[in-house]
Amino acid sequence: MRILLVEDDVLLGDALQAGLKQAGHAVDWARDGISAETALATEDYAAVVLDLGLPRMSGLEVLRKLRAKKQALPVLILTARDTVEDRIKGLDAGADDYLVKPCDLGELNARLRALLRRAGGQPAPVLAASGITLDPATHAVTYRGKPVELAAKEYALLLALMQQPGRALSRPQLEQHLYAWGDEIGSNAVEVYIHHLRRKLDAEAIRTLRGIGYVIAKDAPA
Amino acid sequence: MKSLRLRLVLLTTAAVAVVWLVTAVFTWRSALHEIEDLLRHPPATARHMQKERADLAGEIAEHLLLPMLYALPGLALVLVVAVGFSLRPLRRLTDEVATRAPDRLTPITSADTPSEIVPLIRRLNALFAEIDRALENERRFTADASHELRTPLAALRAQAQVALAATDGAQRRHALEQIILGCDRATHLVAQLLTLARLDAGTPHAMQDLALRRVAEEILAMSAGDAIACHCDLVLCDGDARVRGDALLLEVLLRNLVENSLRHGGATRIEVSIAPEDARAVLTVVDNGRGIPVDQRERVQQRFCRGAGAVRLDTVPGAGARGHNFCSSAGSGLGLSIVGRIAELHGGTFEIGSPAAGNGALVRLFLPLAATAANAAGADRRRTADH
Repeated sequence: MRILLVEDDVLLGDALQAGLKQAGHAVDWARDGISAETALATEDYAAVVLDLGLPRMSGLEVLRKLRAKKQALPVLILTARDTVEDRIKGLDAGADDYLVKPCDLGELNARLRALLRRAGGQPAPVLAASGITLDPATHAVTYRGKPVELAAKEYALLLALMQQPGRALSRPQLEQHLYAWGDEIGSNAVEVYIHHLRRKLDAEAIRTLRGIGYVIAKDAPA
Repeated sequence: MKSLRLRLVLLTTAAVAVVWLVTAVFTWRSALHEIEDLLRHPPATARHMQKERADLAGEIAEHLLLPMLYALPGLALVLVVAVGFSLRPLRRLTDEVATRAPDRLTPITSADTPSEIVPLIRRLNALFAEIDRALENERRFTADASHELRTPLAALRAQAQVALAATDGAQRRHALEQIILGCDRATHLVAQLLTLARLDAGTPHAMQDLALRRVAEEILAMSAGDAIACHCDLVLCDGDARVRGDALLLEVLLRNLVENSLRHGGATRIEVSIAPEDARAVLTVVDNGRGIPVDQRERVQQRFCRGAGAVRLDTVPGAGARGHNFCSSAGSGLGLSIVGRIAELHGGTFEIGSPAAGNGALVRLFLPLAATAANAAGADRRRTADH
């Protein structure tokens, strides 16, 4: 998933970026409110981790502007402001979750997973479709009951498709999920990963809709 | 009756007047009686006459004395009540102060305050306001400080977790290096906090006549290592001025200015010059770095505020982590507060500007010259004594 991290502190930002990457996300790091706003306007993110005390434009301002545009994107506030009033203000400004520094990276990742789950309309923590199961917490993937080993990018691509089974995603959309700023993108990287996934799962697991994109079929309601 | 004095005088006078009047009436009546008696039975002989006269004088004196004797305890009682009544506003005031919580420092507002105490209450209220301000500063400072300490702690924790979960050596190494940097930064922050807290506490300072140049030489020599690491030239121009000050504090001040240029300015040259100007000593630190935008010059002097440049703000974010060292590390956000406070303690000021040519930051510190400093301090003392 592609995440926007907004944090002005260099050390903490570096750590969070590394931690989120370890959890398999593509992470863009904006260091002030204006950059965050620009990034939100131009890129497609699955979620935002937002600090409040930012130079140039406060985190709350960024959040209000985002919500004013009716963007439903999950936002998790991560800040050193710990009073109840601050939390209320943050949540009322449109945040979906609020974490106080210093926080545990594991908890941050778990909360992000929960936000992404809810945003995708997936109540179950383990995603399942077309015989594939995917556990975002452990990155464990099975196909027809058998565990499957996936590389990081393959996993990220499968996760994107599994979060909205039945909905086709175009190649540019999938690239958005896979790459952060500054990452090298090969011209046919998505095709290569799809090819790998089909080999590891099943040729039929991921379907190509010519001119539209790729899709994993939704399970018929039982 | 707003005046305590007036109240007491009026009540006492009234009481004495009543007793006096009663005595006078009593004496008048008994004297009248005695004189009538004397006229009715005039004394036959001169000896009788003399005796009668002595008796009469004695009677009058007795009648003058007796009522006074009976009235005195009454008078005392009246006075006790009167004084108690007069001092009631004072007691109410005492109660109000006594029942006050230590953190409730609102001004005392008593409707019927005796005019003698009004100046005292005014002084008290002024003191309350001052203490309240100091307490509020303290509270804000503590809140800000804990807030500021949280971020480096969060960074340390997160970096440690990244290091633990890292699968390749390079990533682990990077995270561990970041942890060391984070510790250095937290140490710097704590040191700056302590400096500021000591300055705020107003600890007495060792003031002496000193040459500003000596301070500058000391600090520039100490900063040489950092400057070389940041590929920056340090220059001390000719010129000197004598000021009255605390050498250690002035060193702290100058170190903060030089560190600011090194840390946040991205400067390759820092120039320090000292010169007397209009009866003031002017110390100028000028660099050729990014400078401080005009609209931020006020803001960066506030506590815990970092200039946008201080965090290496890139307009194109996500350029990835870069190598961090002293030259690009975030500061505590306290440097200029410390500079301002030390300047204030020396009766001086400082201003932020930009050099006449090219970009960069220019900080000018104004301190009273040694002789004028002594005069100003004297004038200050006299002013205080006048109050």
